[in-house]
Amino acid sequence: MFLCSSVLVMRIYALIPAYNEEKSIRTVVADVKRYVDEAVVIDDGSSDATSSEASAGGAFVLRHVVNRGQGAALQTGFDFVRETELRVAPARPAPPDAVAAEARFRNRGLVVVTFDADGQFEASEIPHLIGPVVCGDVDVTLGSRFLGKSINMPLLKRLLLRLAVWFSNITIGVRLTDTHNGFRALSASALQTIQIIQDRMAHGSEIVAEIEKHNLRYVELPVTVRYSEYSKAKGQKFLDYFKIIFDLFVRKLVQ
Amino acid sequence: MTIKYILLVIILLIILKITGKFRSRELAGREYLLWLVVWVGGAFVILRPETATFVANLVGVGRGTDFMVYISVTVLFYLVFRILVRQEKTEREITKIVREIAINQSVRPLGTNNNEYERDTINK
Repeated sequence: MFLCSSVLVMRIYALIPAYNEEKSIRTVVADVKRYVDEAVVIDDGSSDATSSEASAGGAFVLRHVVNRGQGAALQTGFDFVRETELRVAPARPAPPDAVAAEARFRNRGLVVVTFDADGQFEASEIPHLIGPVVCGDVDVTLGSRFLGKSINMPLLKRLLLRLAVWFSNITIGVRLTDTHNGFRALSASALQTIQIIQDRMAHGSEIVAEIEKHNLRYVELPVTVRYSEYSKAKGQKFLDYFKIIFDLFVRKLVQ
Repeated sequence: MTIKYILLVIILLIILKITGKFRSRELAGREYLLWLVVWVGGAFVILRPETATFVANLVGVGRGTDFMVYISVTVLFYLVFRILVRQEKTEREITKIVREIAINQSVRPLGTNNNEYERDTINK
């Protein structure tokens, strides 16, 4: 499956943040589970049956008691993987050999895939996306719909996203073609370093900024994003794009 | 002229209210003093508008009222900024708590010598 030969015994996690996705989550989980070891759904305070549907589909479920945003849900997923794989809670007292444990963790055969809950992504592209991380070439793989395929994408959304990408490329040193794509793969090292503080939709830009800040090795790979009536209805409000750009702007000012 | 007295009465009521809050321990001493100075100062300026003009001329502004407006607006902007910053901090703290609950409820206890972790009611 992978092109490299030095593949450690890998544990592959999928993190799926979800908010009120009871209709799609079960299929998404079922699809994703075919390519990963453990599918983790982070239910961001949904008011519908997302948690039980996800669980029924075979995912491990983390539940935010109130809605905090996709960025927050992702970070919760990151912390969860770190805790279970590292066997130590970040906030709790570290074991005597904390430094060694962390070093072991960083070199561990671990890869985390982030995946959207609305069915816009193709689970079959997971092996393709985690390849570079598994082979140790990069710390982060970023999916790009502009490198790949975007099917039935609303024109206004395409324009706004291009604008956000352009703005991000200007303000952050990392040049990308798609900065707000939830399909990513991270190594244990990236998991340990990246900290998402922006709870809401600006977390996409924050991840890019973190990559720049910590000099993480990254690569952008083409992915397919399919827009259906369902996902289009649930999509980000256009106002969010302006918020994202505004947040980027403020971040640049503050630096 | 009447406005002056209405405003003074309002300010008096406000002073009484914040004194009450101070007495009942809802308001800290330092804050109480600060607001007292603000309101008494406001009342003073209303009673003797010449003060504002005097200070205004000191700093090179024509009218006393203009000066009051400039000061007030600046202070307000600053206060609002402080509030927004504080709010952002609060939001982050809430997320930390929600995250802790989410992870705690799903994994307990963190295994020390075994690889299994107990799952909660969602994850049976």
